[in-house]
Amino acid sequence: MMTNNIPKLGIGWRPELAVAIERRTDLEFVEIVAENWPVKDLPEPLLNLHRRGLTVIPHGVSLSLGSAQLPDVNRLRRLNELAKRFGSPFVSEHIAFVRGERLESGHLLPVPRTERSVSVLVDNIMFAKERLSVPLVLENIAYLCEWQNSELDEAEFVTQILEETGSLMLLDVANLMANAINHNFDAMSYLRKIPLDRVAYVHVAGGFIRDGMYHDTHAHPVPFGVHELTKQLCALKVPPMIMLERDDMFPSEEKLNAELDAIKLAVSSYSDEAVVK
Amino acid sequence: MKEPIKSSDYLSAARAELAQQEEQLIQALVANGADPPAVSASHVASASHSLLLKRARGIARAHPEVLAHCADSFMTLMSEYAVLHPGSHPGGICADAAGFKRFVRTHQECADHKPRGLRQSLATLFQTASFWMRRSISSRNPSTYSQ
Repeated sequence: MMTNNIPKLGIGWRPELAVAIERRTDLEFVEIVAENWPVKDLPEPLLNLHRRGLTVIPHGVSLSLGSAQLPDVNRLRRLNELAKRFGSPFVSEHIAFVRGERLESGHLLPVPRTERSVSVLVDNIMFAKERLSVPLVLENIAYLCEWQNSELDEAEFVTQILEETGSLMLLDVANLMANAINHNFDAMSYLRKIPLDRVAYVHVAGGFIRDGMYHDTHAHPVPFGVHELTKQLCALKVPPMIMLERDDMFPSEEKLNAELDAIKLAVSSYSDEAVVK
Repeated sequence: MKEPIKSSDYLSAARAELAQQEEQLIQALVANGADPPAVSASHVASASHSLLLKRARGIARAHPEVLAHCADSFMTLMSEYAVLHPGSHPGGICADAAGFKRFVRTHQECADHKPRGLRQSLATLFQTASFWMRRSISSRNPSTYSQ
């Protein structure tokens, strides 16, 4: 029997895209960067979407779950306040660190993939989960710097963290493609190794290649390879939700709609087949 | 079989090791520190450049008039600013952009008044001192972040 299991379509809400998002009628959820929106100062267009029934997912970028220190309780409190305000089903953050003892990097950086790092990450994530009223969903990052002392490959590393913390995953297929290109591994092998039944939702974003390295910028169109990888993911397991991220060099409404339509096309061609397999 | 719960000694040692590795990488990426032994130098160079561009894009987005004002010298000034103020501002991109705007203003004032040696040195000293004072204050209201 064919079942309608097409994933819910979403987008990262940004003020520059507010009008285009409001006009689009097939979106079922938006994700907001939690650090940008204090709960007492939420923008009216975002509140309108919530009133219309769209799910709002707070997405953290600065918890630094992979830092040597425990996550900051004030950042956790703000994330939790947003989740409560919107009645969000979960919040999300990255398997990454963004700061050291003295400096902020301004970006998501990879944690060394060792058993000892996993133990710190697991402890930090459990600390965070105890302070959140909704599940914490964990995202794989794109990284240019690869640790040579890795004991685990990326799929093993992510899987171990998800299983030891009992967490769901935010699978970023663009990050996966970036890492597969830059660090020479097979993205499909990765997809076959991770627990796909733990994927809560999927990120799709654009980037470009410079000097042989793929840069996941969120400022360029989604490349063909990311759509192909999305299709391959759906052939294995159709995710419940999928969304576009665009953070800079914002396109026209027409081009944005074309990007969203391309994601719909990529997932719809596999949705029903995946169920009957 | 892996033990499900780590002892506190194991965890403390793991945290100490991780702190050292991460600090080395951040220093190499944003503060011209030595490359960490476990990361390839070419990866560090590529990532460091990428982080500077990302920081510059964020600043340009927060204060587009500064980008227009600096025109072709924007990235040169941005590089000088990043040397003086390594790492992104703990207060977020808006605070970083405000700092860059002040830096550009001071830079221009120094260029407009000759002789400038002492004046520029004092300005640089003041900026450095105020930067480290700000660093000692924990981050305040969240500002504009991107991934």
